[in-house]
Amino acid sequence: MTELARKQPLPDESRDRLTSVEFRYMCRLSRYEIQEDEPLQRWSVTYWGIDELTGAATQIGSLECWRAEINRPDLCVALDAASGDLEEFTGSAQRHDG
Amino acid sequence: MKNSPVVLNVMTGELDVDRQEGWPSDVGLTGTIGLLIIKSSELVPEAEWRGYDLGSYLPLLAIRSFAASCNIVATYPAPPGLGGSAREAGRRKLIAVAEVMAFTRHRDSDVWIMPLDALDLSAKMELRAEELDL
Repeated sequence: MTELARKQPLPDESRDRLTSVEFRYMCRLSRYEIQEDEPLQRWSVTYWGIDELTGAATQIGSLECWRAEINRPDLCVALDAASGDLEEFTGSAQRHDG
Repeated sequence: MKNSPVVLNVMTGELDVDRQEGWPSDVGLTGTIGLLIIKSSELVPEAEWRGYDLGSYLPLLAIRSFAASCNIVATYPAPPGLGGSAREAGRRKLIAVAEVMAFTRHRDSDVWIMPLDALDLSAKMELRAEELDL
């Protein structure tokens, strides 16, 4: 579990909804979750923040990644990202949805 | 899209074992390579979590989770759904974020990598948290 206390004042548009002192420490990142989706070793990470006033958890961010293990140190991993779309990260390989 | 050779298809995990080109010597890898590819990273659009550079810190939390089994993290910084000058501006911004996280450009490609073997990730995160006053 990771706790990330917010110590900075929040943007004005947010602070307007609460007093500055309360809001200043209202949220913290309390945990993140990792879910595995076999067999492609695709991982989804979700970051959650906790509203310290209400105790409610809200999603504040996410990350998707792939993990691969290469047992041949002489291999080159060609990372073709000419299009800027990571779905096309694999160059001439066939695209897959999702 | 460029039609460059593909050795590892990250969608299927398929490897082209006929290729003999190695990982660049500058990353200094030998033996089994654990590769972590960051496909996407985003914060929710609500303002409460914007403006604190969390976008350059939260991915490090995830990367740290995989650090024991990965040697290299790779990503391609690019904003989704944008074109033209907006896309290039967004790309430059994301590259700056990647560099803050210790990604470096892989040769002259559009791929940015973070060799974990040569990086004290915990120290990097502590420093980054201090910089962000977290």
